[in-house]
Amino acid sequence: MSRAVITGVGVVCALGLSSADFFAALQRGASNIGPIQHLDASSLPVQVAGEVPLLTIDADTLLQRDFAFSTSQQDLLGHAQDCGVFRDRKIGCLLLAAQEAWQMARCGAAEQAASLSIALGLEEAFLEDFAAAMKPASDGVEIDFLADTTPAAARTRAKLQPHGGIRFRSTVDLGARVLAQLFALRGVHAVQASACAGGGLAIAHAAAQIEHGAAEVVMCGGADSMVNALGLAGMARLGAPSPRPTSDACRPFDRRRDGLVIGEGAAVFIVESADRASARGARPLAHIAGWGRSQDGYHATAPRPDGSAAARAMQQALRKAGVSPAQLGYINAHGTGTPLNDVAESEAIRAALGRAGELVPVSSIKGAVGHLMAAAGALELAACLLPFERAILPGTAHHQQRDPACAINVIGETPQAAKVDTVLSNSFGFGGQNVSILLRRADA
Amino acid sequence: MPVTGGIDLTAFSQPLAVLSVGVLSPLGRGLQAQLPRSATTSHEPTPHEGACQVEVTTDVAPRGLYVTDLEHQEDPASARQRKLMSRSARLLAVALHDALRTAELSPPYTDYGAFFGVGSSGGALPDLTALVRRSIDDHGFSMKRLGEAGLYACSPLFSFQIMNNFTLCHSAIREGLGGPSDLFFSRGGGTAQALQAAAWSLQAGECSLCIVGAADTAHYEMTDGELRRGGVMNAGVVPSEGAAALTLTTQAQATTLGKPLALLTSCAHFPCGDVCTDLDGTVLDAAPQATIVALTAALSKTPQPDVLVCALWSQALRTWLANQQPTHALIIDAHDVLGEALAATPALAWCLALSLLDRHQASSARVICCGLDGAVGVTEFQRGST
Repeated sequence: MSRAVITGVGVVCALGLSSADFFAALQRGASNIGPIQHLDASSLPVQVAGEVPLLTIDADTLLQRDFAFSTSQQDLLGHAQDCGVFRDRKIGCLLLAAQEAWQMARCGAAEQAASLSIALGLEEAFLEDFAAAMKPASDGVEIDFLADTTPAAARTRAKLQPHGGIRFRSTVDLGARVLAQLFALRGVHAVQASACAGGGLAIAHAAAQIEHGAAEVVMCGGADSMVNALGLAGMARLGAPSPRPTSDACRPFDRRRDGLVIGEGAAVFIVESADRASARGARPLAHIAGWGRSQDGYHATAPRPDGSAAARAMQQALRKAGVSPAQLGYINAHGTGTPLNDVAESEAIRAALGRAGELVPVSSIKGAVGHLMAAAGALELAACLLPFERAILPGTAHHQQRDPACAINVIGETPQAAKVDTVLSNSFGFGGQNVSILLRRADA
Repeated sequence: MPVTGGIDLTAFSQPLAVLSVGVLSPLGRGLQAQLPRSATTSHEPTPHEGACQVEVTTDVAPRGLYVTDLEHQEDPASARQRKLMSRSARLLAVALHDALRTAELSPPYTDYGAFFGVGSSGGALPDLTALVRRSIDDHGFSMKRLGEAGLYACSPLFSFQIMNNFTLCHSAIREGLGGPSDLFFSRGGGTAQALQAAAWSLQAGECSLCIVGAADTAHYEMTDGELRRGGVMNAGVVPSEGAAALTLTTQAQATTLGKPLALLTSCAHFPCGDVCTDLDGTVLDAAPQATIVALTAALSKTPQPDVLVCALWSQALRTWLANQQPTHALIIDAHDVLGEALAATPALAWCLALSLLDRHQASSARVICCGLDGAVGVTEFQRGST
């Protein structure tokens, strides 16, 4: 059975547009939650987010970066732009992160046989299209989904058919399709649809493909943005975000926590078999040594209070990796900053690890970057590379007052210097899906 | 590794046992309802028998096939739960519950895994329409109006219908499923991925039993609009819907749980390039050469099964298949019988094959699926051992 190793990572999030920016920001304990810039959210209950520091992310954004796209890649990006692909903000994030990962892993023609395992969240709904397509109906109004809302000028420029162009919503798999075409990937495409657990599950699925010999290289990770009209409105109606429009709105494991902050971005990895990486001289950043999955089967929004299902996922990851609780060096928590999640996760860590659960350092980066939803597990796994790359454990932005109900060893705002060999990343999805991934230092 | 035309068709070293099936399709509820009678005797591609009504309108394409009377089905979900559920979630609630009940499995299901193909979001249109309508000012959609009024026009429960992972999660909560799970967005290929992932999970000992399948509807207004705008209906697609859930376990475990309905002997899934449709969903090629190559390999794999079930999305692919004059004893055109149910199509096609095995009218079956995502899935079953 092949070992799965990570040989490349790309990151786009509120803390920067590359993994180097991201690691540097985590190392200095930075946070970047602020007023939403790329749309006017001033009338919404949700006004702050962990926004990627770009007002628009489109083909031009990609072409202006030092990525050396081929002519055919440039043509594809142009076509994607004409089709309206970049109306969905997460797709630009995905392509930026993927390009960094591809280059870092020094991938080339041989790696184009790669499979794809990506979590992309929900479709982005373009409410302006819905408004333009409303028509009178017997019981009020209805939306004509065959209406052509594309401005004529745009259609002419793009040479689109009368019904062409992306309208009303992007499809769930749109980002994966663009990605596969951009890199000419020939392997199997898997698009995870598991909410906030999606990113972690995508990486676990990639590792499973490597271990079972179904693929030798997999591009995997996640991208998401709910910093859009319907995303913000929907989350606001659910009452999940913190009501405070301040930069410290998300305070994971803090006694005063009152909700999450929506984030956006992407993290993409190149995962391949250790033998293959070694043979082509690619440097492994970490070994995906174990993973565990479970379902709460409990409630639509609330986590199982005793954390027992999440604990099973953690225990499975440890067992698969052959790591004892005492050997675990760090946990990157799901840590949403909501009152219920953080208590349940603390219980889960204690249930899974026993006495070691009170001692192992734990942090959440959601206070710094927000909750990236489908991409959260991927970005947080990228954060788990920091201990291996720079011997630093990320801090928990805005965690200032310990909560007795969260009886675990939470790292505060200041990152902690430590050399560890194993780290665990938790992701728990809305609806009850859980995944834990265990990374081992590549040279351990 | 036996690879034909780029396809890995390796059989499992240890076949997995299918204990039971729950299915709800336009043909009806339950395995016995899944096959028109004529198909059981035909040696030709099966003509549509009229077991379900194809409603033809003035539009070029037929309106499609529906699961009728979903509102009146005996449904495990409570009235309150149903308010939170999309149509796909409701279809799956019935199928998944039936799969557990048919296998006579008793709760708790704490270590039962769940791996499914799911489709797009399915938020209730009246909620969305109300939200948009109250978010319009003189210039069209207004973020300011959204915050002031539109936001409050929709139910706070709206999100549970929108999120496509809730297609499964409602059932997982209702039944108390606690094992590993993964959901794959699917226009065909993702459902084959779900089956593959379930098989790996069982082989790795992550759980004692997996429930695997898919649920989707092509009739959701937004999805329907996308398919029509892209010219998919004109390529010969009859939109449909349904859900299927198979309980799957290792043969060793099956000995303690009951007699298997069938054995899953192999499943393979491979892409043929993103060539069927453009990025905006417009059909580019309804029978791409890469798909033809893959289908040829899937058809010619030996040993040949007794029955071949093919679920090919376009008329061009189905015509190509008919021209191949395959020599299998029995051939079922799943699209002809069930239409195109997107993520659910492969799982519904598995049920057609399992129905024949269950009736002892075949001892082996191969299901070949190709959906709008251009991926080809090949799944093989044998009649269960005693």
